Amino acid sequence: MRWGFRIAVRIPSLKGRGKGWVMRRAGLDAPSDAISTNDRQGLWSAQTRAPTPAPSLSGRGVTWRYGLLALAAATALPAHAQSNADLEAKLAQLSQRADRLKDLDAIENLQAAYGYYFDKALWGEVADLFTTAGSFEYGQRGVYIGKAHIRRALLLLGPEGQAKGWLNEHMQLQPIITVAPDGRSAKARWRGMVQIARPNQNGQWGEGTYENDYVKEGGVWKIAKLHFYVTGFTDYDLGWTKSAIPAEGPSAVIPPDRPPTEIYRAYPGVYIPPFDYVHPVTGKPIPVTPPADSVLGRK
Amino acid sequence: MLKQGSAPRVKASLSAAILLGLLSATPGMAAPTHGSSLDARIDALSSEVDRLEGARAIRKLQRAFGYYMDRGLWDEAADLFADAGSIEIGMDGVYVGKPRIRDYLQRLGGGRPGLMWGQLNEWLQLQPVVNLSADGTSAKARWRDLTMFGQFQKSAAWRGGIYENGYVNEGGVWKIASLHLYVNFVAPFEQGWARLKPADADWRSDVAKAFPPDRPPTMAYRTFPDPQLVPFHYPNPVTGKRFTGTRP
Repeated sequence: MRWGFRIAVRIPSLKGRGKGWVMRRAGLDAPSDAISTNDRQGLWSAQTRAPTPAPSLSGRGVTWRYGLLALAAATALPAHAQSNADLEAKLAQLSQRADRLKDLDAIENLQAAYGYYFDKALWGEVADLFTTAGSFEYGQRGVYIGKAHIRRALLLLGPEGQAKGWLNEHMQLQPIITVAPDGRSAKARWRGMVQIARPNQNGQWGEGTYENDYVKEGGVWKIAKLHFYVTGFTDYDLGWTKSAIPAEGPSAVIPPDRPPTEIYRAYPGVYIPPFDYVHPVTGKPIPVTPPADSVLGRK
Repeated sequence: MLKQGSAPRVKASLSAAILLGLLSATPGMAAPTHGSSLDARIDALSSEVDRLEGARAIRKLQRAFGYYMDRGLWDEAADLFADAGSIEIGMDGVYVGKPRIRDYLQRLGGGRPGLMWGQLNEWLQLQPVVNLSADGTSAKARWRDLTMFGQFQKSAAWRGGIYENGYVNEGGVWKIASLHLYVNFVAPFEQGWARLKPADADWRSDVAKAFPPDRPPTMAYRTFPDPQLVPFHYPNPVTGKRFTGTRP
């Protein structure tokens, strides 16, 4: 007779092992049908279900199961204490992994919320998403530190609130989120597509990459560092074969607290924003050599 | 509360394991004091996993809607809704129930199942903010709409908008309870959004005029270049305060 349970949790396959799935056995081995049958839309869709490993004497669950029976047969109290301690430890591990998944969802919501506030120039709401010492860097405009400075810097991108004829769409797409093992900080790369309109001006398309830091303070995820690397902006009518709008430099009116952390030119320049994460298959850091640029004097 | 996972079974099996271990050795011994606390922790963890699964299922559901719309699979799109589900796009008003939703979508898409030759109808579903209710049986999500409309050698247009949708878990299956797309602009590819004129006073689609909805629009607003702010179903995720539109 086999009895027991299995809990499986899906985590992003940043280490590239398996197919984006990690199965962990909790406690005893279980018949394969112990996996949720209620799976029409959940984690257990047919195409992503991990193959059920055949019960094997080498598996930890099996060893543990016979171990439990043997101990239980010999002396009840130690066996019971042992089983509880073991279960407690496994439960704590599972609980921690569920917490990391919750962190991913919270950070995804946070950055998407940033985008929706940004679209509508709700600069107060945007600034409030940052930590007290949080920093904001957009293209080559330099670094602004702290909520008050960030809110003021955002005025460089348009007046606060809604105004007729202003379009400021900043899409937050394609996240790669990595939460630190202790669950207190995280990093993420995002893609930003941009649609711009200003009264009586041509429209613009823009595109760039975010490399952001997050911290959890008092159980709440906040933006610790937001860095939008501008890939390029282009005039809507001309398109990117004919138009390449240079990235704005630091403002003299609302100067940044620090100069740009990295000097680069937007499209047609080809700059590679550094990757916060290791290569998901090889597990190695991704070396980035900034391209040579005769104007910037970079060899 | 509706369970999505196998929580009851897990709980039962674990209790059985602990009991068996105990009873097989020393009949009559006092019941373990840790059992109930373990059970409670497993219940809590199981409920957390249910919510994580729910948040993923809702993303999958909404993305599936987009892929069906892309290819004119109106039946499949309508089948993603709850029986009492509703859809509302722009100023077209609210269509209630699967048959009405299906007919409305088909009319919007050209009046036949599937697309016609040369038709482009890409409904991108982007940037979700997903929040489940406290009991985990319903949810709300905000999404960004980016759509490419076109007919080869005739027309091409971009649409931008915001969805504020409701979802419900019925019998362990997440379904769309209400889909509300607030249209910000539909701009011709050639002229783009920057040259759009203010919307007409009545900017319903021709479909809505010929095929009236079950209810009028839930909120009046105008498209770009007029300002438009779609209400947020969630408070600011850091301050926890709702945006009221008035800030110092």
